Amino acid sequence: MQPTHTRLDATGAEEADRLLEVRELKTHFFADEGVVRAVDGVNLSLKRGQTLCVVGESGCGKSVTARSILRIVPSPGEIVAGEILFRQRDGNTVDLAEMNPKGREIRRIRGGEISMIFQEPMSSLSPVHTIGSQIMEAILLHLPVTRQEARKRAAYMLDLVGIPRANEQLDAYSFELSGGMRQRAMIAIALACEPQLLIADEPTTALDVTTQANILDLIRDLQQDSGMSVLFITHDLGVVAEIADEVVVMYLGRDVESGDVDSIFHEAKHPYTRALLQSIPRYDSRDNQRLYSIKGTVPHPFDRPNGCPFHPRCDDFIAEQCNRIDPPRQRLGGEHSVRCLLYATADEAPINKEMRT
Amino acid sequence: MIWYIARRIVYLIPTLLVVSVIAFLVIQLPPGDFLASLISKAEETIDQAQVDALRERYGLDEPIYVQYWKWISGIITRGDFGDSFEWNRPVSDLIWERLGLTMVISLYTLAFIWVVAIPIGIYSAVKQYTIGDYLVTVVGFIGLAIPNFLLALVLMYIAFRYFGQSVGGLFSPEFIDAPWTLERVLDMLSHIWLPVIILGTSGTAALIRVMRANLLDELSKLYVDAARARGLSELRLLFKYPVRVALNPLVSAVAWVFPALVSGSAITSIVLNLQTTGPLLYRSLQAQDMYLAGSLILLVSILTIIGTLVSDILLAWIDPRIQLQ
Repeated sequence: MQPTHTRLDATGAEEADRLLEVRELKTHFFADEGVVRAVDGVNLSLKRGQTLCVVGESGCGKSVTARSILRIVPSPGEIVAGEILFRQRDGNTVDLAEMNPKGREIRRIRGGEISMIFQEPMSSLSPVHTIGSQIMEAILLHLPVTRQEARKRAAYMLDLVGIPRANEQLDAYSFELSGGMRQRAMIAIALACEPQLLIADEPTTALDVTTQANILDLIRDLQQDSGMSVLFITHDLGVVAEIADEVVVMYLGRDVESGDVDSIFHEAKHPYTRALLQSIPRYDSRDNQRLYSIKGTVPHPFDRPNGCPFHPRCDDFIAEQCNRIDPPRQRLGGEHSVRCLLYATADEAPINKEMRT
Repeated sequence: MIWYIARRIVYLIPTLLVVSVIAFLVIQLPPGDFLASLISKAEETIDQAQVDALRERYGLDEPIYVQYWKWISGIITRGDFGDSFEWNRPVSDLIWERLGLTMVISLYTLAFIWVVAIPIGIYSAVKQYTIGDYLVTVVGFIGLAIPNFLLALVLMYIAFRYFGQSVGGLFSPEFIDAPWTLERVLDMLSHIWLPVIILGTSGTAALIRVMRANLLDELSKLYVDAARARGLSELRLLFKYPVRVALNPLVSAVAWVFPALVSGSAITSIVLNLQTTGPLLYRSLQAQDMYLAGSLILLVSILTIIGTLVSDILLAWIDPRIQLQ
């Protein structure tokens, strides 16, 4: 494959501002039935203090991308290619993809520099340990403090995320809290060591709408206070519109389109992105209008289409091209880029060459 | 917590009463009685007058509820479990030492099962579908499949043939009837490993499977990933979270280990010539020695109930999710 990412390399000044850069990441699962290419060439770039939303349907590799960054991909998954460049607090840039997933290096980053919160607050806290002990665990792992200081900081964190009677709740168990409170507790654990990056893997999906809004506000407020970056994974475009600076749209393990939030919502180029945007219910639509839906379903993981993975469902399918050529990543100006043959410029689309092979 | 325990103990009383009635009824269920089986075994015929005299002496003519009342009131007020017909001695003389030895063997076996099975189960779960896991699985199933008494015979042969150890029983001949001294205790400890291994094998095999399954369930839970994402090392993570949660169901298994060891291992105990309650119960049931059999069944039931209580209390203590209401 052509090393398209080199063209996206930023200038020096921008580089210093860049916290995370994922290049052509591939995470595959080696199952008995075959290889599932859950993440198959993803590029992400996240600046300090910004929010990047990764959007896509279930099974498109959003969560695996997030877990790859922290190197907590469950077995039999493995990172097989790509780079995950992360700028540490000390100014050094490290490649997380090269680290031993059980090693000391990555453990220092987990929870200390990059934290993660998960989709289901119901099950992401231990059922038999108190909330306080789990926050204190994170603090004691990464900060040079005593147990008393850690407990104090844990209470401070619970208070910060809006849990009432924080001192008492330190000794509460997760089953004694509601879903929203548990997610707040998870956020308290995640932010206890002031990470540079928070990865939020659909943190509001399992919550009701009111709680969802509260949690989003909380994450945004905490982000503004601390200046951390947020990698937010969601399938909810409403959430994206609300919080994102940058957006990456994923389909079948690929970033099909990425750009700042305005260009994605107002100048979406990829047929998949456009179809997603059309599928949002609008309050001003007429009563008898059917909601648009993308035709077909996400293919089975063992049955990936050749060429552009979206072509069987695409309305703008170009016969004999989309089903053969893997579209390269195309820069459209600014940070906006797309993988689609509709936008291939003459010199960069090696159509004729690949058709002959 | 104290209230919870107190309430549970109060609840024990009616349960025990019902259990004692059932225990008494069970031993009355088979047709005939001790005299009938005595007569059938006797060399010369016993005339009816003699039978009637014996029947009266043992109180076998009275209605069941009178017999039950005599028996249970004796137990409650005087600790008197009645007399064994066959041994011609008070039941309490016969059972206490055997019960003590049974408890010792049971506790040893339980400890053996846990100490061996839990680490192997953890290994097997963490290394799922590796050579090591398959090996443990195969050995485990073999352990489950071999009847204990057969294993007893094989190990006794090996111990005798290759180690020259006097096998069978818990004591060397010179200590069998000796009073309890330090030497006797040491002698017992040097004999106890064989019955413990034999009695513990199938339990160990079963517990490895249970531990492996429990832990596999927990390992895939999100809180494990969340703890890993906090930067915890793999080993500390493993023992602090999933293993800790996976142990909870094992604690409730304590309840059924006791009765199984007391009554279920009768055949093995007979083969090994252990002075435990199993063989005694077996003999007394054959002979329809009703006070002895009834008392043993009652004690096994009491052990079961106490085991349940102990495991419930332990579980309530270690698992905060259990509500004490």
